Amino acid sequence: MCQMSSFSEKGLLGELEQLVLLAVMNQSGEGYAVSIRDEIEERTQIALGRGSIYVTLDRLDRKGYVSSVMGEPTSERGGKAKRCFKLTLAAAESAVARMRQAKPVRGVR
Amino acid sequence: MTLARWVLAWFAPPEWRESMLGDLTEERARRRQSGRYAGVWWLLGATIWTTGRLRWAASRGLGGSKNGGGWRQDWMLAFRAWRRQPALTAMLLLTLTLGIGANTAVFSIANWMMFRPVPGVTAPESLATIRLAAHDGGFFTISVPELQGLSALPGFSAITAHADVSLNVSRDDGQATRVEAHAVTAGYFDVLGQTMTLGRAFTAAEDNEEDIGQAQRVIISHRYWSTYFDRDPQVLGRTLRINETPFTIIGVAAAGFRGPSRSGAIDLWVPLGSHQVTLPAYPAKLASSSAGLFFSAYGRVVPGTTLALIDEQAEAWRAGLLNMNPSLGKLKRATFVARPGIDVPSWESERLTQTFGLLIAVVAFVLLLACANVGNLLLARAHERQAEVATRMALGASRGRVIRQWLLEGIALCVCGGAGALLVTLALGRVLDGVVITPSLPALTQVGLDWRVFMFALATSFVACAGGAFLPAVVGSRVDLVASLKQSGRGQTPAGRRIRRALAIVQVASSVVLLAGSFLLLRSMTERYAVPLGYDTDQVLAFSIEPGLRHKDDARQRRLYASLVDQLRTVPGVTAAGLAWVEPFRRIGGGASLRAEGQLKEDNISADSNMVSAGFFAALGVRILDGREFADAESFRSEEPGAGVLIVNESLARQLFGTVNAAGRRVTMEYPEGRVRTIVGVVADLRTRNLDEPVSPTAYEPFGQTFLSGWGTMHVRLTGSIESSMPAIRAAVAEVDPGLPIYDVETLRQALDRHLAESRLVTIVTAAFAIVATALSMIGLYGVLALGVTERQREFSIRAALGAAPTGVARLVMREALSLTLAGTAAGLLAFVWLSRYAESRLFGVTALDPVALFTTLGCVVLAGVFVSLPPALRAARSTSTL
Repeated sequence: MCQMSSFSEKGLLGELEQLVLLAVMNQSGEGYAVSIRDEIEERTQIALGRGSIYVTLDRLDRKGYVSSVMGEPTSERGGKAKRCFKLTLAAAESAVARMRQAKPVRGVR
Repeated sequence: MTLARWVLAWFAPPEWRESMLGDLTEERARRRQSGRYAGVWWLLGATIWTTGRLRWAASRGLGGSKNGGGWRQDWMLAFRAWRRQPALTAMLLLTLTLGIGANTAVFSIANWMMFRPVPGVTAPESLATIRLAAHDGGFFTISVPELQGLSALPGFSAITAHADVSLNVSRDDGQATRVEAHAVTAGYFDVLGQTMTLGRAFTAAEDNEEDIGQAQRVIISHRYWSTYFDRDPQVLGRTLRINETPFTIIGVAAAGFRGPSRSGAIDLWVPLGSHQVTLPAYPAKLASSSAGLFFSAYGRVVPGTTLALIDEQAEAWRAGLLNMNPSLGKLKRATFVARPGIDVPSWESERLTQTFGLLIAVVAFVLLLACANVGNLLLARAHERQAEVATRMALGASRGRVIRQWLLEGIALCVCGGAGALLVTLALGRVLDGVVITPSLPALTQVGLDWRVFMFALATSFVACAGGAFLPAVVGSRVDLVASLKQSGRGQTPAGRRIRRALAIVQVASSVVLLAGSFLLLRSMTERYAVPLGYDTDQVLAFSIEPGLRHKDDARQRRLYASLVDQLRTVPGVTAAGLAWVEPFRRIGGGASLRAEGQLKEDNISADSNMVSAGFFAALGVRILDGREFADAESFRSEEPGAGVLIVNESLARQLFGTVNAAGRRVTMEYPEGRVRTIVGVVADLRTRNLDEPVSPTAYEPFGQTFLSGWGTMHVRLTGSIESSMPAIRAAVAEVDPGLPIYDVETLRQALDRHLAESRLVTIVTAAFAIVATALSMIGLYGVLALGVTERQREFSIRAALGAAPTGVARLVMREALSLTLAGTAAGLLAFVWLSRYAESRLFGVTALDPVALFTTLGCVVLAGVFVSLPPALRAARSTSTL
């Protein structure tokens, strides 16, 4: 628990958060809880629990990495709207910055 | 679905509510497709789990735990504490689930009957009912022109009305059945704000009585559609034969809608324009007639208008009508009154309020008892945990912290108990689905959870927590640190012991209140069934027919009635058969006013009246005190001047002539004006209205003498069982008229049962709870005694060593048991005496302080008390040898 707090104080993301963030980024503003979960499962073969997705999205939202808008209600969803997530500018910037920082460490070229 | 929505609405963070429900709906559809379970329980579980995780994560903030003053630690401790003692936890949970569950279950039924929104009615708060209230109480009927006048009032944006009708309905294939329906004005579904499941609502064209062809349209209920048409979407355009006339189905009403009141059981709606077919008893031209209908009228109130304003507007309109036509007697003696919502008659709501008031009081005692039981168990547990508390305090925990943790344990327990109660209620709803409590109410469907029940359960759980866990936390945390740490504090603190005894007394007392109450109700019930009715009930079968809907022609109806009676008499196993206008305990009936011939009009006696055919009194096994029953030749015939006959009951004979030997005497009727009739017989008083008032004087005239009723109830006396005779009876009716439906088939015993259904329900429920309560309180008493014996083992051994016999020691325990039982009984009886005044209206033939009931209660409780004290007493006696 204590580790986690220092983690987020430094603005670092956990693995789960990274996964979700990448999925959000990849769906360019169309992603919502169900589609994000599907995407992650498709790409990584990791089936995340429903609760984890919500909790992570919630955390990313409060950390300011993602923002959300309510989509159009559709009939296959019982007339309920989707909550669609997209990356915030800050997140994109910091992601880029971090990637640069990360390069030498990982030794990727 | 609804439940999941409530969970979301209450617990999910607002920004997630809608999307999460959508996500779950989507996922559910997928699961269905892949053949995995996706029922209500999955949805509920998924909702609770997901919201729970969200909330849990949110409470921890972005970072991990900040350990907010140890709250989380305390919660974890609480759960761990319960896990450690599974047996005790189970016992506590069971008790709490029972206490809270009993309350929630009763409330859920009350909620269904009294508070739930009526399906298919939107914004009931802006609806208002308008009635023509007589100045001397009661209501007048409203005519169609009056209804039109009311709809012009500026306070209403629209107004509609329905009249109750029973229709003979046959579908394409099947036999005719009897269906409850509303004849409604065109605006009915619009005023109620209903979205039809299929098709459309009525339009003004169908309100036109001049064009009956246009008006032969019918809307069916969702239930009817599901039951008889298998939810066929092609149902629109199909035909139902209603009273022998084809009606086209144009719509299916909203799911669950059975009429605008909660107690509605309507399956069909026909336009008022079809009244010549559906309300044949009324004049052919209703639109211009002053004939009043038993209309219930209600409308949408224009926003900003008060009911008082509507009253004023209606009053002004009434005054205007009276000015133009001062002979309108009805309007002179009545006022239009607007009431909020779809108003049910006050007698109906009062009865329900009373019934559920009583039941809620009963379950409140069960809750009190459960609280006392929980308190007792928790106190015992607190006592066991003294060492733990002492250790914690020695390490620096404050007493407040200990209390807090124990309260948290209590809250956790009560929340679990509340959740259990909700599950019990949900299960009960499933069990009750389709159960008919009384025939006057529709079958219970979807009784279960909504936010009212949920809030009630929550509130009850908190009451339980405050009542059960608070005291043990406060008292139990008072620890003598030194003594406890030295492990020498064997006994309870005196305060703890006193409280445990007091709680045992509370338990006994509440079970005494419930036992005494249920004994009184039981006594009342047997008294009710013991009232002599004046006729047999078990072997008399009654069923209703309404040939008036099939045959307009009087002569044909008369022939039909007569041949029906004849035909039924030939059925094997039938010893007598006769027709009557009104069956016993139908809450309707006619009146008559008459005097002995030669007396003055002022001496008129008001009497009940009924029309019966030959064979009716024989079928009921009624004693004839003088003269004879009607002859076949007198039944189903209209009166020839001067030859009218009458049978009177004993009360009427005595009032008229001061003797029962009245056969051959003559009376003058008030209606038909001044007609003189000869009394041919005097029968014993028949109790047909209720059981508590004296039998009214009653006059019986031959069926069809004054006028021919289009409906009646056949009474058949059977030698064998109903099941064996019923096919032959149906065949006999079909032989006379194959298209004639028979309905309301029941024995007179069942009619009496129906009359007493509500009292019986209350009695049974109270008795069941009383038994459970007594069992619970005895377990509680046992707990106190057993713990006492364990604690006093050393004392008992010393006594034995000093020469006390084992029986003497056992007697000590028994004495304590008896003193607790007697104290509880005394307290319970005192409480009962104080409370019984509220139950007095429910009693029959016994007083609230009926000695039989009170002594039976006393006996039962003392016996039970002695019984549960035996094991601890024996143990105490045995323990003396183990010094």
